[in-house]
Amino acid sequence: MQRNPFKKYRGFIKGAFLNFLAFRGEIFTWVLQDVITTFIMVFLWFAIYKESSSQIINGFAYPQMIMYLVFIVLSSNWTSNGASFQEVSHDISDGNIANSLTRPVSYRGQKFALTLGNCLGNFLIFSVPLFIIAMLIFSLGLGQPWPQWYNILFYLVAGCSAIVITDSIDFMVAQLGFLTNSLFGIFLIKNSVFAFLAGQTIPYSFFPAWAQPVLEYLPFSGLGSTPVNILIGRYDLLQTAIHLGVSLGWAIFLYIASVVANHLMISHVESAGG
Amino acid sequence: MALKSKMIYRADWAIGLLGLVASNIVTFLSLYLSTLPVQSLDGWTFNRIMFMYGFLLIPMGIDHTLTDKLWNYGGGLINQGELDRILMKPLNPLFQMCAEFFQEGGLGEVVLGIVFMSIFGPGLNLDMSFNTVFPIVVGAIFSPLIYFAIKLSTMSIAFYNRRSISIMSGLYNIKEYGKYPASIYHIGNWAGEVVYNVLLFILPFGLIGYLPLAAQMFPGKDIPFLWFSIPGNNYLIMGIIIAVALVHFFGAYLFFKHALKHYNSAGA
Repeated sequence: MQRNPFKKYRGFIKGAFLNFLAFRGEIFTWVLQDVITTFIMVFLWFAIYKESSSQIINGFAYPQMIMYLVFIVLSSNWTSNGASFQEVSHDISDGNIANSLTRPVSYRGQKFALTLGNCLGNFLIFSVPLFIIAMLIFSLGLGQPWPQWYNILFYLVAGCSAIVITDSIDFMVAQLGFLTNSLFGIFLIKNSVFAFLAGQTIPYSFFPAWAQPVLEYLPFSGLGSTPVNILIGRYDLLQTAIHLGVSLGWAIFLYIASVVANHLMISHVESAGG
Repeated sequence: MALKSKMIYRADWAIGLLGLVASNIVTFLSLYLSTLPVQSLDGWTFNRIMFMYGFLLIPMGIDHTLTDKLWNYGGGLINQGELDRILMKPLNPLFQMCAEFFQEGGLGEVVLGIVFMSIFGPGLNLDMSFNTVFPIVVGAIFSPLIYFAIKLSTMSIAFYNRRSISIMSGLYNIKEYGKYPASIYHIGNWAGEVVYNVLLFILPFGLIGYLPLAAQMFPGKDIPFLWFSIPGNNYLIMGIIIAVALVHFFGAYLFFKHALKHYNSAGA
């Protein structure tokens, strides 16, 4: 009997982390894209606030809006940088999947460990410095308060559940590779739909009143709206507890669903004779 | 087996259609929700913005239909030795890369663009005289070259380091901001001036829809341009669009030719 069942996954986490470091040049272009996007977004919302008759639109003053949008871009950077989608879709299209299945570790666990390594690398190398820079700009330049320590802590928990949610969904979406060749197209569509539903392009308070509570209880809220609203202090402790609970619940549910999907997939592989 | 492969293609087709519908619903809702709190953005009402979005979909769809394969070359096809196969044939390599694949999904975008224009256009009281519409159409014929040029020059980076999909999609996605009238970025300080002119000349996604339609929707109003402003003359704007499109296209093509010389076979 192995005493620590997680020990065998440590190698995968470490491997993905080192792999991330080796390819940080590629990631740097993503960061560059984020910077350009953020820059233009600031201008777009400036124009919207300039046209508006009131200083506050749907509960957001302009500096808060910018904080929300910047933090959501930074958050999605480290929470949605999982490996499952690419890994699983490559495994399927190249036929490597049989090879992966022979390893004495769970296939789902193996991919999730890779994701953790990736996200950890991204968080330490890019997110921490960028967050500090952003917060300095907001506190010194815009006079916004620095986030409370407990909000940062809850934010990190929410971010971790976002990793699980994104990665589990990616893992399941990648299984469509058995049915279609245009998997990358699906992935892009999934990303843009999720970004919208997670409140990444527009905060939930801009949505119609009936849609807001619905969105808050769907798994997408955990990918953007919940962590960032916690971080910038828009939720009190009770709201934080509720929203965090919803995200964690979805994370557990979706992880289990992805394990089940994995079992179904393996039986599919067998029946195809792969 | 034959049935199975047919099913695969049908699934692809259905997924393509679903993707087209889903991404356009998302765009529609984003534009709607972000402009809902205000009456208009720099004089552009939601109907005007949607009309411009429909207009933009047409050149984008044409480019998408004809040159979609470039994404695959940026995304790792070069690593698999695909380029060797192409370079062996006595035909222009760029032509071969594009002609390999016809993306029907792009035609869906063109149709959708026409639908959006006919839904949102009639309420706008647009000037439909020949001297307005003709230069707009001519400009729009050259506009796909702009999308193509951005894709081509960023894809060519892959000849140096095998993959360029991230920089490719990074710059291409700036097109999202061309969906709003570019003048909203022109907020009166130097930073706004820079963003505005970048969207007009460097990554000219703001040029394609905003410039011709601003002249059509607001006749007689000057349009900011570099550090000065120009009158909203449709033929002048047509000339600017053609010039920018050609400069970008030939610049990208020269870079493509240059980068191709750098390419070392992967040995596949």
